[in-house]
Amino acid sequence: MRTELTSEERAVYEWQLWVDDFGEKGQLALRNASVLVSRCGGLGGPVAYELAAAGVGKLILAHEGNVEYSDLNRQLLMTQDWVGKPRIESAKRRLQELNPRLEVEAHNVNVNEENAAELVGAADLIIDCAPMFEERFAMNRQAVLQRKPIIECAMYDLEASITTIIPGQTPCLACVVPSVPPAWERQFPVIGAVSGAVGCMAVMEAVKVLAGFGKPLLGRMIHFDLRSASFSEFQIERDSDCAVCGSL
Amino acid sequence: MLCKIHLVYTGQLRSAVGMSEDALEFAQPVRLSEALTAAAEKRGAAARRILLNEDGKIQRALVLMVGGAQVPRGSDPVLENGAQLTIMTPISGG
Ligand SMILES: [Zn+2]
Repeated sequence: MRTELTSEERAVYEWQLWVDDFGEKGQLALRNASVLVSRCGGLGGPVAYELAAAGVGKLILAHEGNVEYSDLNRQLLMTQDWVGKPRIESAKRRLQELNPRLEVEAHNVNVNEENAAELVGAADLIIDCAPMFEERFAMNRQAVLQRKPIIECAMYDLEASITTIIPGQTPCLACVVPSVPPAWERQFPVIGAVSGAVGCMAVMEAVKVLAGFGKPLLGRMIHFDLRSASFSEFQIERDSDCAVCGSL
Repeated sequence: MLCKIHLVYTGQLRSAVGMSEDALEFAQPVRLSEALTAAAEKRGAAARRILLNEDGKIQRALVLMVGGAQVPRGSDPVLENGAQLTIMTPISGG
């Protein structure tokens, strides 16, 4: 564990070291943290990029498959010259161009029931950016079992939602969404700036939780609709019968 | 006394019905399940498929908010005149 910033880190992070309640202590907390981001597409790409910029020490990325043209409206870590090649390689290259101090553990695989325990176990915090509810449920289950904070963010069309889960303290994903929604489809409309907007909010939740300041979205969900530029905040409740966290 | 319920549709439900805001009027305060059934009838098959299951019960995967608070799973509260019901279809990343 690092106890001091290098002179290069002080120079790079100078402007955020001025942030009240964050400072050098917060920066060191980020430097010593590992964050799992699954996946690193339209939502996870901006998440990973902002985490890299903020100075998180290690990113664990899980994202299977090759770059496609239809990724490029929102998956900011992918480049057109990389179409047909692994997304995870493009993501790692772009992140380390921005932050060469960053350690990236890149997995060309999506989170599933078999690998979730190990991937979650290697991280201090998880940001759930996955499209498939099966992946989201697998990460949520492991986050609860291992008592790791997990930030749930999602987007659709011009809408997005976000909440921060501390197992045993707040509702978990399964408290709010107990089963795969029948209306959900793998491909859906979205403009990249919408996923970028909620991705940036997710990173601020991660920064606050890791550095221990501010007021994270605990037991609260923000939903916004950029079609009307309207934001709503809702109180969300733990389900005492939740199959995942009900016994905590 | 007239009971007017304001509805907010989000996610796939908004796409299915083509609007984000709606209103329902009843002769008296109604239960949440009655409001959802009335919305399904008003907005047709696409809305019904999202709001209700084959037994006509509330779809389990919906996230329902009355005012600024989530409706506890399994409860069917009475909605008073002026209540705002936000119906969220869970969304994800990608
Ligand atoms: Zn739960």
